Amino acid sequence: MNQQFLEQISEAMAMVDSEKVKDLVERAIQDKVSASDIVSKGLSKGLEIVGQKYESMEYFLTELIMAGEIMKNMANLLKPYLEKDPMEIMAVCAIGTVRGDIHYLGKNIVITMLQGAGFQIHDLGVDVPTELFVQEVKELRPKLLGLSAMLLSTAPAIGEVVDALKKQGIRERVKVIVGGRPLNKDIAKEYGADGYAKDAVEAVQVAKQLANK
Amino acid sequence: MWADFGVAVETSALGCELVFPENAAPGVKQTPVKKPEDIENLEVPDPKKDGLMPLALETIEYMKRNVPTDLMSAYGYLEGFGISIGPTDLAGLVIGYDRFIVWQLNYPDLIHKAMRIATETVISYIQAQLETSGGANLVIVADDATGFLNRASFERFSFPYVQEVLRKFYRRDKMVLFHSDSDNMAIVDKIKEWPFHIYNYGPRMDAEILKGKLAGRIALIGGLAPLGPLRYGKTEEVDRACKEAMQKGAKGGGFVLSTCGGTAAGTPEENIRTMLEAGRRYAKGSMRA
Repeated sequence: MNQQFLEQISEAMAMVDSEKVKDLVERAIQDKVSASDIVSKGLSKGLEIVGQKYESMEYFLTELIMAGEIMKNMANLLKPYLEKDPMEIMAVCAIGTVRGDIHYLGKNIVITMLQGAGFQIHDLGVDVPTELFVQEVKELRPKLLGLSAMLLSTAPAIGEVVDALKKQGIRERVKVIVGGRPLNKDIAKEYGADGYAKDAVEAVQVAKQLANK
Repeated sequence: MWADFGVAVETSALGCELVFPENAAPGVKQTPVKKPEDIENLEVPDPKKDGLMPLALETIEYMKRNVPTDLMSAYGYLEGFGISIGPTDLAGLVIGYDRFIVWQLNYPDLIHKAMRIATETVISYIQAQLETSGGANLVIVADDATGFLNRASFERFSFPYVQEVLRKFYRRDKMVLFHSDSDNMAIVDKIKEWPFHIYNYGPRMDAEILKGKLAGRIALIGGLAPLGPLRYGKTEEVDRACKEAMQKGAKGGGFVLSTCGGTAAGTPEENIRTMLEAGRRYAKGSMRA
């Protein structure tokens, strides 16, 4: 029965059917299905399919954002149960949009997809000063640091963050993954990043690779 | 030649707080819509009073008075010109794109209300520009967010409103340009129904396929990714990209070689010159092909 529930949740999530997901999750809780299984084997699997459909251009930003909203609502619903039955965390990731840049949409979609894949996220917001990124790496010790830049004029701030981490002697502590419209693999490399992702779906793949290094 | 305020004018008139970054276009810092019911408080602005609209109109007047007539006639635009972001982008910016999409499901009536206000705002702002600049030779409507939506959302919440704006300004003997540099390939058959003349399409879209789908009714302007070889490549790479773009888009005419969207800041002048030369050089061959 548990497996059937989880498959149905995954399917409903893949269809981005918020009502059905909610109904199934509530019924799964009543049936004592493990909350961490509901997330990792139901919701996250469905979210992964949403990502694949986005990659194959069957889905659009509409579905990615709606799926993110469902994940957020279900995380709230499952919160008390997850406290007793916590999920396995793949890695901790601090993420933010760089100094001078207030674009949030891409970063937030990446956060949703990473959370769905089991990453614990510390969202630093937008227009994040370089010093704050450094402080986070020092204090929080995340495995990954995600930097988003959506403007040509703000992309160099990625290089500034990487340089600041080097100056503080903590560059090797963290893998830096970057994304945003003005970037590509080569530019990301020039700024000293460890990984580049062209969209939220690729961000999950790159984050998993870097987290396992 | 025109004063480009980016998204600042329309959004400020609807109550958004703006940010003006160094060396970049202004953006929306705070929206007036935090919760669904805030949409009820939105009102169509008065272009002569609200936000940066009066400043934008004043700028047009200033430019008309001060730009030398030889430049004005050489580069145009100041005579009878109006530009605005489209209603989908305007509603997305004022509400916040993520809420705009989520609320389409939960609060469809409020989203329609926001789209109605955005549509009337766009129309009144363009009309005010045309009155100020004298005539209606060229109207540009830029709506990137059309490509964010899936087909069902687009048809319901974007298509009729953009159509209304374009219909308002379409004249057979004038020029209406629609810009959207997101990937609109899935909705091209619907875009084709809109009344406009030139489509400035996105860098992810294939001009050859696009031309086939538009069936000669709408001309294309684009072909080069703003952040591709034109911005980062050597001149020979720019030349190659231009040749490829012309081969794809110029067959049978109805194609203007340009960037898909605005030219990126920092694009080397020699690359722009290469693009102009390549466009002239490859034009005849490509059009005959």
